[in-house]
Amino acid sequence: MRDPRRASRIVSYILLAPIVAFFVSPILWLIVTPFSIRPSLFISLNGFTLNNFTRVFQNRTAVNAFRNSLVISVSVVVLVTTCALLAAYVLSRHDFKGRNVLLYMLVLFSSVVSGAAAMVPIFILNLRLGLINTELGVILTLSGGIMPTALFILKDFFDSIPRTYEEAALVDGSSPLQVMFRIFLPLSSKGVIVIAMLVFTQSWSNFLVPFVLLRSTSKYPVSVAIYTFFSEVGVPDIGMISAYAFLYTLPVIFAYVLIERKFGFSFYGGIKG
Amino acid sequence: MSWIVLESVTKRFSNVVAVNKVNLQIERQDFFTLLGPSGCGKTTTLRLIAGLEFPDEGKIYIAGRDVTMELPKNRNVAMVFQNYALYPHMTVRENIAYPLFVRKVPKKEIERKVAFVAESLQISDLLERYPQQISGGQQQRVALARAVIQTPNVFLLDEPLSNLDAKLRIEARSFLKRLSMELGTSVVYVTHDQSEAMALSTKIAVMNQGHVLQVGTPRLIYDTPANTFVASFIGNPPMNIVECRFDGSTCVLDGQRIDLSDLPLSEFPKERGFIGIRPENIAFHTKEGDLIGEVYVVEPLGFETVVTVKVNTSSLRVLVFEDVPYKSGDKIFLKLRKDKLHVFDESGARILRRDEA
Amino acid sequence: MKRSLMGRKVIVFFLIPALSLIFVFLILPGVWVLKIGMTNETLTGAKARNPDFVGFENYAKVLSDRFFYNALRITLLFVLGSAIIGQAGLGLSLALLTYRRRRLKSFIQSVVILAWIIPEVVVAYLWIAFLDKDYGTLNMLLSAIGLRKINWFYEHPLLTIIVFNVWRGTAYSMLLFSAALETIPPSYLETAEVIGASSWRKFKDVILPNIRSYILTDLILITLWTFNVFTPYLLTGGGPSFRTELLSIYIYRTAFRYFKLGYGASIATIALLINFALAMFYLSLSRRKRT
Repeated sequence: MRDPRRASRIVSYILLAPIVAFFVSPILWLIVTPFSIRPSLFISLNGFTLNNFTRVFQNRTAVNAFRNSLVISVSVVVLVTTCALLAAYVLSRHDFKGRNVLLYMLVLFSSVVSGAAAMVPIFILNLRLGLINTELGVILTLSGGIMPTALFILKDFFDSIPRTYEEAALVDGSSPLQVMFRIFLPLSSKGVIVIAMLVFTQSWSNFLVPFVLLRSTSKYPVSVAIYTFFSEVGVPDIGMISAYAFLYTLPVIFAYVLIERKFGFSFYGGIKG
Repeated sequence: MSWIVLESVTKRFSNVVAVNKVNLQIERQDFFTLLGPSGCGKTTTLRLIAGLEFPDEGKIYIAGRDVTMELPKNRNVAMVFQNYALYPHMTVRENIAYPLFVRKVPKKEIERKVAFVAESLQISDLLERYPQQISGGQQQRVALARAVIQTPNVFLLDEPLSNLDAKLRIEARSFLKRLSMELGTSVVYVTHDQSEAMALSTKIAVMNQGHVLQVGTPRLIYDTPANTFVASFIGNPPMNIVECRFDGSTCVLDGQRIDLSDLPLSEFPKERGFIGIRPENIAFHTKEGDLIGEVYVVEPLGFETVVTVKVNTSSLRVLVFEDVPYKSGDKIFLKLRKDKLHVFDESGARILRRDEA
Repeated sequence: MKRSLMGRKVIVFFLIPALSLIFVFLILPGVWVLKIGMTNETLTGAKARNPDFVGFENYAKVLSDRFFYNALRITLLFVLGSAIIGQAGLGLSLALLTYRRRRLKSFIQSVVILAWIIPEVVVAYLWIAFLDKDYGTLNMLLSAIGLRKINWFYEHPLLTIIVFNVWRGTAYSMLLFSAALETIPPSYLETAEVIGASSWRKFKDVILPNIRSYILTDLILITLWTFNVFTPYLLTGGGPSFRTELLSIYIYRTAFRYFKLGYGASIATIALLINFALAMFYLSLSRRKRT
């Protein structure tokens, strides 16, 4: 029997098809070109090869940039996750005077001081601190920018863990620090992993901060390296760039799949931006 | 042809059969209740009649027309949902008027009808308020008003009393019964509450696991349940159903023998079977009876008293309307009213009396 | 007030690392920019070491700066076109078209989210490739169906970055609106359906009033984000002849290409004030919703 809602369903498919094509087309290039024997700007797979990847690994700048990106991202993840974890625990479990004002101020500043407008004072700050053209400067700047968001999400997550677990452990005679490490951390490991993943993707993908703060090519992370590859004068090596971009994108996709599995994107809410 | 007909209607959700070959005939003057535990398919059946779901097999007729594959708007039905679905951004007046507004009825006409319906449902003074500003009972009436204003072929009510507290529910139930008599067309009502079904309906269909087990008047279903499920679902406290072994026309219950040869049954179970008797059809006796047992617990409820009696491993509930002098542990004889005793075969189906066949 | 499990020392010790990082690298620059905006500091030369305090001179200059107004105009068109009309409109349409269709929704969402999470340098290059005048996929398709190849970056630069940003950012709006639709009890729509309301009526009378606050939240947030977006720089560099020079790109050019840090800071201050106004609006809104 024919479902009378079928007509409206067909209409929706007709409307959705071009939208899906619009979203997929540019991405398709990234999936196809790295494996293409004669890579071009047009999406076409004419024979399969891994040659483009080999050329990435032969390019010293490219390999070096991978190492730099890894150093920066891992440092930011460790720094932000640790600091945010401690602070969020206190903010979630301890109701001190001015806590709400503090949180309010943090939301405000994190959404106001962002983008290129923030780069001018941040550049001067790094200049004064002697951190221009250092990885430390990039790490600290990225950490300061991501910290408030990580803090809120973790606090929200901690708020959702009932206090009774900790109270029960305290009644049983555990010390407050034991409670934190034996009871609280295992309960919140899911949230901590998600935060670590989010912080990773944000710092791994960031272009503007290293672009403004770093000078020497040898210190560039992948984001800036790719930009110099495709914006430099002369004929760009399309195959190499696409393979490089492909490798650079994979960890981000992987991290998001992990986040999605753990939480679903509903959770992801207002973090981006 | 009946006003509403469901002809072997089947509905599956992925691989769960929610409604399984259901046949129903509902007359225009019926207050027809679909009764069953949650997940039995009663709400899906209602949604099939509304056109919110479409059957995989079978046919649905409303007012003589095949509407099986018609959208809800072409069926002329009105529905009241469990949560009333009153629009929070519209006043009570706008909510009630909405069906007419959608059908582009002239403004004057809408005003007149809203006033009339509000009057008869006693909500005239709430018209300018918003749904969240009125009580649950009032919300329920507003939802009814929005249905009543439509003059539909059938009213579909999905557990409309379940969101009210116990006291209000009884009041709303009486109101609903009065109202249904004035509607002039059939009502299909879904509930899991057997007392609601008994109080309101002209006919009840008891459902379980997608099947309709029995259809009939409340009296018929109460007095002659088709099987052990219906028997135990209807009535509070429910019918006592005890498994026993049959030796010809004698029922053997944990070594005690009950002679049932007076019962005019078409046959007796071969070996295994069940007897069923409602709590009000058992009487206490100090010296003699059909069974001997031990008082387990006495629960006085004011007007009536429920006594649970252990007969070896089985337990029977007895409903009496006077104070009882017994206490836990007392030995007691039970007399069963044989004319009210039912026998079920091994599969749980009630064995008919010879005059019923 | 609930009694704490921790001593005061522990509390301070736990808070300090996070708060000091936020203070030095977020709050301090945010406030400091006001002061730098009143100097004539430059990146190189004499004024790099010893900038002078020039008061509101920079702001007076900004207000008569032709490039500033150009950037402001382009930013407004960009926000209006790509965020308010594009992302919100397309996001709402996608949420509606996939409402209560779980598998279709998760498919569409994964595609749209993919465009959102790929690093910005990569998406920039994907679009440069996609729109290339001679070999780009879009122009190849156009010429295959007999149409003229279009040099998108020169003929329609603003439209190009607007469409690009719709592609890039629709995911957030779609996710938010999909979640908003989930908050509407299905019986609201089913009641309308049984009554016989048309799709348009259902949208206007039932859906829209119930997701109004979500729409406002979405519009403010995507406006805030789009206002600060820098990615189009990677596509066009602000050109041709400043036709895609957003405020963010103009600030970057002034401060880091022309090395006028003081002047750049004064423009940045204006941008931050606009951010501030949007953020305050959003916060007051979300506070009202909570109470």
